[in-house]
Amino acid sequence: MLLEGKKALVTGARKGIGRGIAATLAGEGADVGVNDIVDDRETRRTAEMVQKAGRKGTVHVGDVSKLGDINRVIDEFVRAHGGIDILINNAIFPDQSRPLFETDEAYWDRMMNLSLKGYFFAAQRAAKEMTKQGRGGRIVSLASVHAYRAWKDWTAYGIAKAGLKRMAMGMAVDLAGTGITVNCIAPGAIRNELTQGEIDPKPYDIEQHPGLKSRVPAQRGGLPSDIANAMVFLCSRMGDYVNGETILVDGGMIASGGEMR
Amino acid sequence: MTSNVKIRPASAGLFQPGLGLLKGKAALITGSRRGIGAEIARVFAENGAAVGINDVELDVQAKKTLAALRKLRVKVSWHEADIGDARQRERMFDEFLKDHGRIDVLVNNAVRTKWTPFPELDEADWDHQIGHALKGYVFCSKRAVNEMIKQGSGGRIISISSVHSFRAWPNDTIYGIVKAGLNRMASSMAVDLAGTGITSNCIAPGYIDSRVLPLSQEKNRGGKGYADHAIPLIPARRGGLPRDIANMALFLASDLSGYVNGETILVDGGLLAGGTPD
Repeated sequence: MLLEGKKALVTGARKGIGRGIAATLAGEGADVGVNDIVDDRETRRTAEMVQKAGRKGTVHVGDVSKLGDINRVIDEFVRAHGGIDILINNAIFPDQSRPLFETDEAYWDRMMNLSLKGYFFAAQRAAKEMTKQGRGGRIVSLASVHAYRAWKDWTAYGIAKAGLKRMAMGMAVDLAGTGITVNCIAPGAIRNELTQGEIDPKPYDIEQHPGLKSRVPAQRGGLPSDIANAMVFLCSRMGDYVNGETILVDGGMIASGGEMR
Repeated sequence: MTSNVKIRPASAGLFQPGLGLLKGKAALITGSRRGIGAEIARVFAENGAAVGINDVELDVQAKKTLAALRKLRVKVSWHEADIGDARQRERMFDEFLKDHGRIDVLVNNAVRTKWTPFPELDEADWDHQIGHALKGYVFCSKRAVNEMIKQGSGGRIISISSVHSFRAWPNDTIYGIVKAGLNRMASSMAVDLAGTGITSNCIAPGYIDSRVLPLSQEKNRGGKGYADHAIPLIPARRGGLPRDIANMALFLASDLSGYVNGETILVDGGLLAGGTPD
């Protein structure tokens, strides 16, 4: 097991990619704190999946776009687990796409407060704890293919995700010598609807999605487990020399010019 | 630049071997008689892969690498060839396929480097380096991919690029062009091989201490005495180990990375995240 005894907090882990990450990290021996803004059966179910892997699984409800909640959630997690080794910034709300002229100040603030400000201050707080502990750590944020290219009606989201790439670089430099690495994973088209408690739903049917067929060399949609597997690598000692980097897990989407035969 | 920068112990990059991530796979690693290539072969073998070792000569280093690998109870083969030479390249693949019956992973790693200031660039150097480290990689990949398509069970092409593919250091023109070309090769291969289950990616290492060291000095690898001037620029505060690159190669060669394609991943301890020295 690659993460034996590590203590990992995953934000937005009620379902989808976050749940996949939580369960997969637990499968590699990590104790996991499940954060989400919603506390319901599904949130508990993610924690149960962690427990089923034989690890400690806790739930920490909070809105990680708010500083007060971020600090409380991390405090709670550290108290419950006795420390923090891994922070996964993953939380996002459902309506991530918004046409330019409908992007009002309220939407902009909501997007930036969660995806940029929230990720920044969660990382800052976790890094502070990790520095105190003195045993290094891992901070990984979910960026996106939208950090690399523009799709129609995704400008605000894309700006936030591009900012996360730069955040990883900046924090890597600022935390030099602490043994903490800061990176991003940039997923492509990952199907992450809620399913019956499993990690992976059925991926997008490529035949039903001509856009994917012409854009994604892998010729399949991505799965939460694709992201979670890359996460295991980065969070383990195997990823020790990867720092300030953003890794695309997109089946080749960004490599492609988007007009495949 | 601060002079009181502390160097971190290089052992930080080590992890427990033997995860079995490559059981049943056959992997050919070019330029693997020593250094990063040999370490990739070792980590692959520890994970259950049969490995082919290639280099231009069977010297003391190559023999040591082969002997160490044979202790790991996996099939190990040796292929003497200069990948810059078309006939030798094809013979290497013929041999490898005869020995292993298939190819699942190709790691393009062999490299020859010469540093020359731009005004003094020499056409022969250009032809040699491009022919070896760019053309050689392209045509090794082409051959491997054709075999993989015939086999019908996907595959992995991993090429060793460099931080020099993203930024320029003095006298690195040809090397930088070669490495930037490899990143682009990975993108094209991803597109042209769509739907085959073959992925093509690059690893871009930063400062990696691949010196030949006596065993007694092994604990100092990546530490003091190696690239001391660069450590203040590297957030990891240590030189990289061949193991750091081998770990990434293992991830990319394994099933864990099935959705990583056409990508170049930096393994540089954060070197390129930063700017120029203060």
